[in-house]
Amino acid sequence: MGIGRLYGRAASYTAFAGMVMLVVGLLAQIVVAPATASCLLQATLGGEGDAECGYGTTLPTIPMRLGLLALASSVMVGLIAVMPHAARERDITLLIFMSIVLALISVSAAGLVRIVH
Amino acid sequence: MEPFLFVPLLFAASIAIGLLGSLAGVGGGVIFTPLFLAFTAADPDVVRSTGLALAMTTSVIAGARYLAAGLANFRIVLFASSFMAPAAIMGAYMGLYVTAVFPQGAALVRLSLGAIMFLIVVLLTVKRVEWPEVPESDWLAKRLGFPSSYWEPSLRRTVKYNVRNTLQASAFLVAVGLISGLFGLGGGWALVPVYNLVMSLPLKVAVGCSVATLAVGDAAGLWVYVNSGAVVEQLVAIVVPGVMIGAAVGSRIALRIRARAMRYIVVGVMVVSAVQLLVRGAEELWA
Repeated sequence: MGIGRLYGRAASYTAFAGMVMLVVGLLAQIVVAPATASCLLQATLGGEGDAECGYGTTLPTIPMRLGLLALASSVMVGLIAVMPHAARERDITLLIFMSIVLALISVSAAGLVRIVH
Repeated sequence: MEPFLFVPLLFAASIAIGLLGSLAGVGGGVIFTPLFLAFTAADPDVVRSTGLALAMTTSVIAGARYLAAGLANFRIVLFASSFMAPAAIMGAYMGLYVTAVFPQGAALVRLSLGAIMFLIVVLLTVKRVEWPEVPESDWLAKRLGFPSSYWEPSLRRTVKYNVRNTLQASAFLVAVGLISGLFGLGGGWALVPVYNLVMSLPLKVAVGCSVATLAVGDAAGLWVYVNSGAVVEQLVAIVVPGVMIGAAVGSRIALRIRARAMRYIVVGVMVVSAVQLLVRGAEELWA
């Protein structure tokens, strides 16, 4: 399998998994605390970001946060997955560019602890 | 509005955006961000971060298909990403800085996005070249191994292509990344012309590379918004799947309807959004 194809698969599966987790979390929140999700969305789109909607329960926010983490990390997962293949093929140009891109995304992702908290 | 009504309504609107974008051949982000910034009171940071998440997710999933089909050149994608990603990070920081520091930051974002929307409309109407003729690749493209080939079913043969203006294109890539991060727009509207008209890639390869590059650039910009707490997971959980479902349905029915008519509708929506952004931005600025 080519490096490009492998990267695409790894990245898209991770993004898809993230999307599924986000949806599961949202559905759980709608079931557990029906008013919370709607209140949050209406407040967000209505420009009242500081509205008190309550969390209902924090449990559904866990898959949502993990989903967002997976979604935003999908490209990094793809690049990490293909690095050993590029190294095996001794494709130095590709390895250099992958390292540059990975470093750049990692720098912008440095504060990812916010998702966990 | 009733809780059980608002979520389905937002989901339906997202499907409509995906459907419209897919039928007109543009990404969902370029419709979502201007529409929501122009017609809702939502915080500009939240709208831009959702637009970026939307553009990134659709690009990651569509990009995988282009890479698997050999229509996206992974070397070119990584080269372009190394310019686009830092610019997108810078753009995202600039966007957050403008809304946090200036009292009229939201108005400035709306005004500048309104102006950029007109540029996007012009770029969408620029004529592309299906198979640009390039006798030889430039030295940098050769050195980085960009010249390649792909199977073209309509010609029933493998099409070889060369690449030129590699250095000049990097300047455009920085500009696209900056705008993408700043406004959460995605950037296919600019990347396809850069790849096709500046680097002279065949149109299909230009589209494939554009989609795959966007995923990387937007991921870098998205993290900045995630770290600033501007991402509302509930909004992303509704908008992203909605637009993707709409885009999937749109790609199936695109062959049966007149694409040009749909393109005019989307251009119309974009112009209306641009005018509304300019009017609202000006009102907020001078209020």
